[in-house]
Amino acid sequence: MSEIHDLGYKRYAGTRQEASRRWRVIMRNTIANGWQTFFRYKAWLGAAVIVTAIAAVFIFIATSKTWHLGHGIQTTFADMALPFALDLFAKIAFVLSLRLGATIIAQDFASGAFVFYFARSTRPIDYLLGKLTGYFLLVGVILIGGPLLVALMRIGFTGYKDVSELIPQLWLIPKVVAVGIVGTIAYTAIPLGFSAMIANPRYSLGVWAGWYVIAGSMATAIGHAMNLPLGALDIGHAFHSVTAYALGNPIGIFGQRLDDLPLAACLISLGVQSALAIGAIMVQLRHAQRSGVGGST
Amino acid sequence: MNVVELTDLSKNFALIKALDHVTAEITGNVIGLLGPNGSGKSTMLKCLLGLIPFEGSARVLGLSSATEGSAIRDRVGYMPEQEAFLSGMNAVELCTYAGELSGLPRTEAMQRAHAALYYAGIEDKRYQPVDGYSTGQKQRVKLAQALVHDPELLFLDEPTNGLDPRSRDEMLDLIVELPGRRGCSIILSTHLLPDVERICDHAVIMHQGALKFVGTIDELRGAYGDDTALTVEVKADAQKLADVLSAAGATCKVSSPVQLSVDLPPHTTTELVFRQARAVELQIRGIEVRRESIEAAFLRVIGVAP
Repeated sequence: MSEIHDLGYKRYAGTRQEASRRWRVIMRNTIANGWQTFFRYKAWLGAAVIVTAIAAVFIFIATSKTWHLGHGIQTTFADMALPFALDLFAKIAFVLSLRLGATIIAQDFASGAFVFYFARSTRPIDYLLGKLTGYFLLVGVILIGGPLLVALMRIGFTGYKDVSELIPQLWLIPKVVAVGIVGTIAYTAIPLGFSAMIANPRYSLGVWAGWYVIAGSMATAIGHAMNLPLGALDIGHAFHSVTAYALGNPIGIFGQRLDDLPLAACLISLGVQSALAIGAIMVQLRHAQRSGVGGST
Repeated sequence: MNVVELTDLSKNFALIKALDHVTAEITGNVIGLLGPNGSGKSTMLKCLLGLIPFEGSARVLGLSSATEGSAIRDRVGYMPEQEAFLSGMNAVELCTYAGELSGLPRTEAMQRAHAALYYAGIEDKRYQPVDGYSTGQKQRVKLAQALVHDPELLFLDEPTNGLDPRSRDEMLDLIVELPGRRGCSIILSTHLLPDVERICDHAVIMHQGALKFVGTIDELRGAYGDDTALTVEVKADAQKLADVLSAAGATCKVSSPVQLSVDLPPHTTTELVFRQARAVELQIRGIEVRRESIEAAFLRVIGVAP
């Protein structure tokens, strides 16, 4: 017999965490996994910090300078800083989804991790909650935290004569948080949905990028041609429109109109796409739970 | 306590009967779960872990698989046949995560992860990413992650698959020591019958969704012989003994001048051999009950001629 090393053994007599709370372990692992290498998350968090800093500088030094946006609209640099920053935060969230979100579940498919999860007391709902919440927090730091900081600076750097001038400005905070939550849900659930539907991480990444960039642009173009709100299918376009309605900035960073889609269509599109993505994840997880352990049936 | 109790367990997939009214009480330290591909082993495992619905009743460690699947999976460790790792993790992270998912507090999970990896003999590589491990090292990590949460029952699915002879020996040594060192029972699903013969004390054989045998390995191998199939060694002239035994109704086959195989007629004992040997003045040097090989016993049980 070969030599067996044993550090000693004692049966575990302590309490076990309730099964219904173990999704937090998966959430923590999802965040730790994102934090592991520079280009998974840290780089994009750094980009968001840079955007926030630039927005702060604009707000601070160019509070009352006028900006001609085209289409006969003019505003101040300070007022445009937040919408522009949100536009850039959304782009960062998309890049983050290419580096992390669109491959998270596909990676688990490829490595056989579902057997690892479902041979234990992990339920599909625990996995779903853990992955969604973990990635939501990562995206939320950029899409909720970033805009919130910019909004706070916008409010803070503006000189007020009295409190009555300040109070209307405070409405900016819930608006920004609401927009951030809408964006975070969409930029979390939809890429995760793609990563659940296509088990190969490279393919899921490609299909998600294709859906976001190519299918989105085509939907916008067809919508323009047919005078239908099909552009709401374009996740980026729909999110910018929601931003435009919430913050009152009808023109985008490149002079494009952002309020050409009905708000309801944008919200429905983002909501339905997110719900479908979560549904797809759940279906795949239930299948993985039944078929993974002990080989396929 | 029985490790597993099955009462009328059935599972159908459309028109296919994966499990057909299986009733059994399974006990033992290391239990071999045997059966050809498609015999229902995987389906039974899924039913036992409460992963799929079924008809009838299944209890594991006294818990109902139908209603307490989650509690069962907390008390059971599973070592899969296929790779089941999380990309980018090292062995310590993986086993700690496994422990936490089974409800252990983080510190406890980490301590037990180190202990399990140490037991599995992978302590020197534990901080390297699992992706880069050899097949043998991956098997050891799979064993460690199945052990980390202190299970009372281990399901091992082809644990020696892909291992070289030395690694296979080491893996079997680790497994056979577990009941004594960790106080857990083991259900070993494998196609490698020599592994079963070496480490299992009990066997469960399934074929076409039905349970064909439950019992000890000795019962499995000895059932056919029933102590009437003997190998007899004599000092000389085995043929002479064969002749007199044949005349008394036994079936004999001389394999060498000093050795013969004897199948005694029904309702007789080894006394017949001694009596006939004394009659022809032959000295018997040894008598052994001739057991079937485990391969032959397995083939007999599933109804395939060896």
